Amino acid sequence: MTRKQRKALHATVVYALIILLCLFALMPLLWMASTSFKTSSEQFVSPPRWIPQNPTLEHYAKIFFPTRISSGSFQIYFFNSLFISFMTTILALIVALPASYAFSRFSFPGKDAAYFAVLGRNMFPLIVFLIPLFSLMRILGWINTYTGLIVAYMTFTLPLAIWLLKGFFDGIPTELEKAGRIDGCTRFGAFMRLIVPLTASGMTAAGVNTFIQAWNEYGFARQLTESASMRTIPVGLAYFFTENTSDWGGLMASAFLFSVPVVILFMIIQRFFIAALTQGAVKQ
Amino acid sequence: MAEVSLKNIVKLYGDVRAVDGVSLDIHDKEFVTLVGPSGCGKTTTLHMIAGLIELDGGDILIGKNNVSELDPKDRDIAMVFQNYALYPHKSVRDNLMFPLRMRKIDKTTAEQRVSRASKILSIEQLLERKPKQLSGGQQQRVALGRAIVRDPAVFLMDEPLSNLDAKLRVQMRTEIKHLQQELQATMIYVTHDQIEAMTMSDRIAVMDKGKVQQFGSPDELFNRPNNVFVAGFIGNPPMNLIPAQIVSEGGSKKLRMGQITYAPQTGRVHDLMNKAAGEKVIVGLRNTAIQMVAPGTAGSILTEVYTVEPTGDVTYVQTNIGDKMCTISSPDVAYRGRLGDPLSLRIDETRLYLFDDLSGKAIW
Repeated sequence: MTRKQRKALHATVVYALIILLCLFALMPLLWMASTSFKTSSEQFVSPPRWIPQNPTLEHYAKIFFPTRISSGSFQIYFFNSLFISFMTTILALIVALPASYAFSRFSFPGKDAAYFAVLGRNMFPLIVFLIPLFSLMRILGWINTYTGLIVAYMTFTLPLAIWLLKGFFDGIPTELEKAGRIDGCTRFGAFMRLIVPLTASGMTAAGVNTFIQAWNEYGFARQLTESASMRTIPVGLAYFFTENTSDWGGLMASAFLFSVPVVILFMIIQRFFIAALTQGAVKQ
Repeated sequence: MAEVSLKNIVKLYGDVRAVDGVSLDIHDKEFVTLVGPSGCGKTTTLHMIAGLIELDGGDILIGKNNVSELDPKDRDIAMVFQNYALYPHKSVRDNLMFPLRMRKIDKTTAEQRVSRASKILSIEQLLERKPKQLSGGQQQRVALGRAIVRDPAVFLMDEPLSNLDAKLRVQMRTEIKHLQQELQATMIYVTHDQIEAMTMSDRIAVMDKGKVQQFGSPDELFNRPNNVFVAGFIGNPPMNLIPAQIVSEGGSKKLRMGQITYAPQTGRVHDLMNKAAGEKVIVGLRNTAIQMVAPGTAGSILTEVYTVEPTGDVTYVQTNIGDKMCTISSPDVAYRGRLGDPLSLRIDETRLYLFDDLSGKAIW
């Protein structure tokens, strides 16, 4: 085999493997999309069909205009998910930005312990926090409120956001702030004018990551909400299964719409995101 | 421009006295360099003048004002950093404008100053670029520009040439010195490179262990070092420092350096030996104060060649004098001795230094 042929063979094998992996990852999604456009009877035909013969939007109509009183409509879930995820992102960034800056720049007693505590949160499964959080929220009267969920989401969004942003601050030379302070800024001014603009991609990465985490969350949302009007999409999805019925069409239509924002968001920012992760992790 | 006074300033890090009672009076329009090995406290001192590090004791005066408690922005200083610290998201023009905007200087004046500074540093054609698009030397110029536009009372320079390659460093050295004279600026410059210090400064403060070991002109430091540290730090190659003992033989005092017993010929060295507090001293000899002479010359000492290092315009010879490796300059640039070749050396006693072994202080 010549060198050229070997190279060609190598490329073929690599691409075949990549395609296989992509199919493995994409198939459930494609199946979900396909099923959401099938009539209820077509969903179970054997052999299964990838392309619906009689494509229908009935499931989409159903989730937006539900007939049963007990279930909320998709647009309410969607709004709840969007609002809660958005506010979680904003709050997480507002807290994580100064926190990670302090961890990166200042030395203070207990700093290592505090940083360990922040990251140490990730060592425990989230479910461990559910009961204490539930008690806390009940005392505060935050059960079944946006505030309750947003604050609860800080438990798992903040550690990663702080860690990610700290990596960014560590990569920015301290001389920049010093130069800024000599050039006429206060310490806070130098931070806002010179450092924050440089962490834009880090904030994007941390923000998107927070958003996606909050968007996908199920356990807390399930336990800390009561009424249909407060449900987020993941909780709403669970309600397509009742004791007597399984509404696969509605589930798939909702799940499809549920995935779309995340996919779009990730497509837009994946370049930043990868840059952010590597920039934060690798010392320059 | 203004004079700067450091009055017994102190910085503690735990038990470590990073800056240990430094006092300096720097004149208006003077170029003063703080030089010393890493960890000597020179950068900490500079950052204390800038206000980036708080004082644990003492006072700093700029002009007539005690600035010890002021924020960096209120001290009327400009600073150039080793890594330039250009704002990466701003163009060169905006980098230069930034300190002026912060000080709310009106736009026309600001633009005039930026164009004047960029003309002085010949960076006019770079104004629209981002720092990333510039070479190291160009970034250095922009950093200088950002200091110049301010027209500050004092310029502070924190190893500004360390990140440049050797050739560019020599070129920028000349330019900074020229700039300082052209602007009639008070400049405080930090470096670990004694050649930079010697070539640029009006006066040099040699620092070690948080203290100023000697503060004086380059000539003073070179010709009249206060102590062993300054003697060994200033000059290239450094002064040969040979441990010795003062012994009495046949009624006169001699210097015993290892195997060699040297009988000084001049009254000057005898005077110095008489002033020594103890028997143990350190003999200091610059490479040019030891001369290679013809074998058998009266008063010469005998050693062997260790290595020969030709540099082109000077040839250095390494040899052991009293168990101490010493560097001397060969009078003949073409000299190419081999390992073990005999050497006859004559000591220029007018340029012999004696230091107290215990305190390290020079004996005058």
